[in-house]
Amino acid sequence: MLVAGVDVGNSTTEVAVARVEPGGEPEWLLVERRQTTGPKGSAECIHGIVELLFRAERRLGERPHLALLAELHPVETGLVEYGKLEELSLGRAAIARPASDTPSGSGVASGRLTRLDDLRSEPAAEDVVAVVCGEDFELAAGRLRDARERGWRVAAVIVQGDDGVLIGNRFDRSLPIADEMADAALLPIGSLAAVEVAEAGAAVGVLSDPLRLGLLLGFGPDEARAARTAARAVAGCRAAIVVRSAPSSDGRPSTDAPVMLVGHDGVGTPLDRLAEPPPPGQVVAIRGAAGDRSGLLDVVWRPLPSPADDPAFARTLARRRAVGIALLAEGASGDLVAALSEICRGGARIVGREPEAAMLGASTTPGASRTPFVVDLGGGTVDLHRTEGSVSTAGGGDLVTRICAGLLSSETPLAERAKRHRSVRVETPFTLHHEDGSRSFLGEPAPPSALARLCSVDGKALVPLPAPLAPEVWRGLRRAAKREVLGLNVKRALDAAGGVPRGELVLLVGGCAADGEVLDIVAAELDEHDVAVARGNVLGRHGPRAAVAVGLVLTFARGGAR
Amino acid sequence: MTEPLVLALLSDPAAAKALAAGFEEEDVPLTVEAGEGAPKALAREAARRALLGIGVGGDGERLALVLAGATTRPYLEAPASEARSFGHDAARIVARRPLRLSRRSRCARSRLPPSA
Repeated sequence: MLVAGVDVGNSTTEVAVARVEPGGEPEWLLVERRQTTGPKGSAECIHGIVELLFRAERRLGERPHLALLAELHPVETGLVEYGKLEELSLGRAAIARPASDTPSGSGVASGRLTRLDDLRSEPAAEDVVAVVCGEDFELAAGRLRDARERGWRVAAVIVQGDDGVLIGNRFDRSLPIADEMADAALLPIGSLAAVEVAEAGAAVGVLSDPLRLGLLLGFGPDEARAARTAARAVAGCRAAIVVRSAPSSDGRPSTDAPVMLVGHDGVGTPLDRLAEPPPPGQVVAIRGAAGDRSGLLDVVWRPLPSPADDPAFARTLARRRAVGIALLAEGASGDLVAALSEICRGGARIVGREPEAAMLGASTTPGASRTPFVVDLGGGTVDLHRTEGSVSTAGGGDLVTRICAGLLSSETPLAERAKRHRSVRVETPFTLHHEDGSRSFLGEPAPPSALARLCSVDGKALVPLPAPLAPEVWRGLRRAAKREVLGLNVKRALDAAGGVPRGELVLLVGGCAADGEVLDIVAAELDEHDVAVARGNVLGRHGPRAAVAVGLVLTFARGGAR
Repeated sequence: MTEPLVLALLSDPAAAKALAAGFEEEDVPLTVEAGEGAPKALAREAARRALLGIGVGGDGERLALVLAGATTRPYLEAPASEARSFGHDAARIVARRPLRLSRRSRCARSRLPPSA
């Protein structure tokens, strides 16, 4: 009988197909995998499974008769930015924006926001900050010169397009002019605004100081928090603007605890972003900005790692106060079993739990026939399996990806590539700067889209990343993200299981174990336990992947079906 | 006479002002001269003469940028109607800043050259 072991992970779905005859060992035919469709355990997962079963049918000329599944517990991962929540809850008493890196002039000035068109009227008796929206730079500079001659006190200029230097060169090179302000047309005309441009290579010093900013724009003592938030938003930028605007009426009071954790006793405690997560099983529900979820088995949160060797980026991160959160919930596989029963003639069955299946699958690694400790580094969880039982912890490769996406300010698929591959900075069309600080020279120029950018090296493709980081800094952050999530969870799982005897072999399986950097980090974390850490090679040819799918077939073949 | 740091040779002066504005906004010096020929050939000639080895060539239709270290094909191309944003990107190549790359710009594929 042709059977398919189906492992639906949070990020990858794997299928191991074998011919199984009563009393015999399985004849392994193929292992296939693809990205999981929909949340783990949900009915949407069926699409990915069906695609893999059809793929198997095309290759083998026969559709698997029976699908074998494990009980599924889904994991959700998210990123909560405390800084952004606070900014929203302030009712926008101030608008703070970083400007482009090619401003004009230098210094700081403030005044009433005034449209370029309005400078044609009678001059006002106070300083103004002119706002240039769609006008051509020659026309804008001409109008500004004319306005000044007629008595307008133009203290600074805000420009919507990338025309700051062009306008400055034709009007006043010393005046602070901030440009590339995309929403310039939406700024509240008539409000008090401040513009600061630092010298090349420096960062704003007045607008990033809440006291000096408060004095400049006349924030009262009750608006100190608005000044602080505005100052934080522009810290580290070469050019910036801050506009004092009327607070909106729907401004909710700020809360210091946007995420609440609920324990077995039903008592909620605020999530402390910088604290260590409790052992698995202590938090049963979560409320607030990360969503409201009950029936939780584990909750893990990690703040974004901060680079010691890049103070400006460290400050940007500190301002965001972002935290990645993973929630492991109890799940039900009933829908999936019913849906799969319509695809396979023999139906679908839950033949066991993931831990036992993972151990059986891992034991097919050559030389590791009786491995007492298996660590499954998956997309959603890190699981420790041993004969006496297992421990599942929330947060695996997906949480690492989410943290990488938070660090890079990128979409998840890009972060997934950045997580897996080394990086370079394309310094010039012919020079690459590598993560170890070395340089290499190119015979042909690197593509323009990669120039002056941090890029992930995915095979021969250079994938530009949005963060302006040195490769050494990104390497440190990427490794820290892996250590913070996977290293931490391996330790949490070991602690919850009562540790590992010295000299024991710990076998790593799961998609994350295919990443050499992860292997390195987990081995380093386990150094103090004096254990041997090795990477699984399922069936001697699939590396650390497909342990659960293969294990499910073995469970069935050895009579473990329920 | 001192050779220019970056040179643009244009057979049609229509794009000169916008091209120069792009360079000026990026604070990168540019010398513009009149020339005769196709954009790629003009850009090759300009790259050969420019001290930084970066040359721009153009006519009424297209603009091309050539690096002296790789003259077989243009490093960047764009329609002359996009001279301003082409100017920004060309200046950013000189200043080693990330490019903006308008949708109509043409450039080499994002592949690592074989020697990397």
